[in-house]
Amino acid sequence: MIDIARVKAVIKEDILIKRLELEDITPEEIEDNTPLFGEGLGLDSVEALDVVAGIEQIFGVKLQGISPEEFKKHLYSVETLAQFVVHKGDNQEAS
Amino acid sequence: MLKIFALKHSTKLDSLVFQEILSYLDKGEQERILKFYRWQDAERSLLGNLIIRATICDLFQVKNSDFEVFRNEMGKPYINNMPQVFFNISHSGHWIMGAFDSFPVGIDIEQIKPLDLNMGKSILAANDYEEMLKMKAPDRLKHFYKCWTLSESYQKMLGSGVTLPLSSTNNLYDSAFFTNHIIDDYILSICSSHGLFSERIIYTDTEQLLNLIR
Repeated sequence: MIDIARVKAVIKEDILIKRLELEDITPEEIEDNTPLFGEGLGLDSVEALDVVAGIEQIFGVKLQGISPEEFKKHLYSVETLAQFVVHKGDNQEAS
Repeated sequence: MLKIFALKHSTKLDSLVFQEILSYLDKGEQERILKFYRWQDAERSLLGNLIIRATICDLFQVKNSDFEVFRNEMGKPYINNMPQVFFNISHSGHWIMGAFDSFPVGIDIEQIKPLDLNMGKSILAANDYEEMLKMKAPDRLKHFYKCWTLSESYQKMLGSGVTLPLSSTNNLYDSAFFTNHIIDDYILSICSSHGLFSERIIYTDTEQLLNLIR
């Protein structure tokens, strides 16, 4: 079982702040439900790709092959992304 | 004829100008803009809205208060009481771009920034990735961004969102018409259901746009 609090911390610190180089924002400022794209954190589409690559590299979880609606839903916030990682990670462990 | 507008934004807006532009937008859009963490994102989004509203006021000789801008479930803006108007906005770095037409249109601009191209394997279509590997190192990044902006402009024309891996560029070229421009270190792709592209990009500024809306 993956610890969701740890996943959220890694997404904020290692993926959003370090990987995307959001120097002027601290992990503490990013709320779990803040929108990542289009508003809130204001990430663009190439940054979305970098988030996807970071998720795959760190957690071994892929977002390839899912519908645009699902893609948007999972990448909405740190909370939804962490939930996706935890559930997909658990499924991968079980299979 | 499809028209392309470009607005360069490199310094923070005067707060009075920011407030004036904000006052021209719908309540929901104002709230969305004020929730951005970074002022750069808030201003890029604000100026994208200004391009939409000022251009529609100018092209159709209507008042700003005569229409409302809505967003579909994927975030694409549209106007519901002017069915003949199609537009799309994209911003990256210092540039905010707008495309306007009588037919569906999509636009995407990206700054060509260094990127871990290893991730291209799971993002690009297999044939586009293989083509990238055959290229010399300096051309690979440009190829990656070209594939990305072509796909984004196509998805934005349809009003849908991202699926990975991307469709191959060959399939895209069979499905719609595209044109590309290089502006400084940015790549721009425009997608249309017809091939009548204007070669000229219309460069504008905040003051010119405000004069169209006031």
